[in-house]
Amino acid sequence: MKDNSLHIVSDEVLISSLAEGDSKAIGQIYSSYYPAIEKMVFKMNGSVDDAFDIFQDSVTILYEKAKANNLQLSCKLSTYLIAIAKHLWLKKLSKLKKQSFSVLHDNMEENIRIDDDIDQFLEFENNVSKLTKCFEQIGDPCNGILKAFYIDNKSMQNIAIEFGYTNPENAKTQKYKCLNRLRKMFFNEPELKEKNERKY
Amino acid sequence: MNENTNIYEQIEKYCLDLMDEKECYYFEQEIAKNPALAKSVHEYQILLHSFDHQQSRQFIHDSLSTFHHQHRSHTVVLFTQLKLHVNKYWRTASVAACVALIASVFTFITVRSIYKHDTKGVYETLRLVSKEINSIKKNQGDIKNEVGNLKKKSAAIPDYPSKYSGTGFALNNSGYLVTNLHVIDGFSKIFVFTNDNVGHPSEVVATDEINDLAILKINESDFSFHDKVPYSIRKSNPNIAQRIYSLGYPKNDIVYNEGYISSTTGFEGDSNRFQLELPSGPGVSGAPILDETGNVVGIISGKQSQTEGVTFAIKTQSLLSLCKSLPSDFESNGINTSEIKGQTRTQQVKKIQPYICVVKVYN
Repeated sequence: MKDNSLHIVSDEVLISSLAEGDSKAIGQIYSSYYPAIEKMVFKMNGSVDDAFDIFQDSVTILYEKAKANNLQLSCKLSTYLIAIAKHLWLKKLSKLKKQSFSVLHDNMEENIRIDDDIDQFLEFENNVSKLTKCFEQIGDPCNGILKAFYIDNKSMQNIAIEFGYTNPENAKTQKYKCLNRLRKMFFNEPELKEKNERKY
Repeated sequence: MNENTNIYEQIEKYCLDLMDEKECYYFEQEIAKNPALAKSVHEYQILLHSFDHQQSRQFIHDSLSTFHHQHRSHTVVLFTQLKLHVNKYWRTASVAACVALIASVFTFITVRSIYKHDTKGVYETLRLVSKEINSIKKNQGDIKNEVGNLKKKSAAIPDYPSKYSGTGFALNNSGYLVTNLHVIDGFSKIFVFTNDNVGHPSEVVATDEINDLAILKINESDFSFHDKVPYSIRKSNPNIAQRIYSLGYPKNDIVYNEGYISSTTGFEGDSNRFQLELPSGPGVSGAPILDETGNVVGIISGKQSQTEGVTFAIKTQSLLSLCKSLPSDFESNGINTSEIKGQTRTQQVKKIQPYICVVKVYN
């Protein structure tokens, strides 16, 4: 297949390319590691969609750690990814079936510290789903302005034009107002918190 | 409101690490003094992290989805193409499959019937060929002769085991041999196996019942040994204590034994025989007793059953007188005078060995 014809590069090079958001690197990670993880999830009673979800989350963890320059691998990248995926899947499975699966540490995974990575990731995921709920409720124009600035990285200049503000300064003031509202919704509504906990 | 905005701007600047050292220092002091501010900063940080995470996960999810869909659509396209081909060509394909099936069944039946028909013939040819190959291997010197003999005779050798076997030795090189009468007595299928393991059908031409001797002639007009017989047959009586040796076939290969003449008479004083101290076993009947010059001094005929190592041999006079009764063509060929006198024992045995044969009889 054509998308497999990328050069095989070392883990370090791959990780640094990933940190820069290089799509070739992501392609290679997909073609090199997805089949193994899919197989593993299949073996543990998962579907293709489950496998792909787990894979996406695992690569997200890898990407965030790589971007923060916070990734010290004591093992091969494949081992790390598979370990992460396995833990994520077991956690998801235990939530779904309402019973706990003890995560067994293989010899292979003995020296890999991934629990912190996973906990942090799950907390982030929680926050994001909460955030999504908040965005839904906050209404326009706050929703649009905040997303444009914080998610899509647009400049205040562009945002002012897009949302019809006379100058960026006004837009900025509006943005802080929106953010403050968001913050209040995010931290002060336990109801929301309850409802939207991500299922892991 | 403006004040608030200012604070948020500062918080954001702080969180994004955009303050210079001095500003940062003052702001941190402010945070330490004001718990409400600290809380705001903390919450702000969480929000920023969430935005960051949202961004990262969206980026990764989108990128991976692209690859995932490419990959899957590739597979799906392949399947669709396959399906299309199947739809288009199933008629042709099924006709082709039927033809192939019929052809293979036909071939199977034909081959099977031919094979069944020929199995026996093939087997026999194979067996004969393998025998032929063995013979040729062993007798490279005389391939021509060999092939001729094989063609004529090997088919006649029964493939069941022989009834008895003994030893015989050549009297001349045209196919006259001597052995014990008791080896061949009462049997008509007699084969002489030369040391190249080729069997030659033979007939009895003279017998001496009293002295247990029989002279055989190989029934092949073109048979001859490579050379003249290297030993002669002594006329004189054997001497006691004389060292002798013998070559015989107690098994499929020739066996050498040596000993001495222990008595000039045989069992219970039989004057036609003499006694040897020589190991012997079944199959060596008819083997020659040779002296140190390589001349035949007797023919092994039997052994004393109670005493190990005691063997009896027939004196050569009996053989010589029996030879006189043979047709005139025997004499003309003659028995060669000893060529091997004075050679070492090993050389003698090497020369003599081809003229010692196995005599086998079949029911």
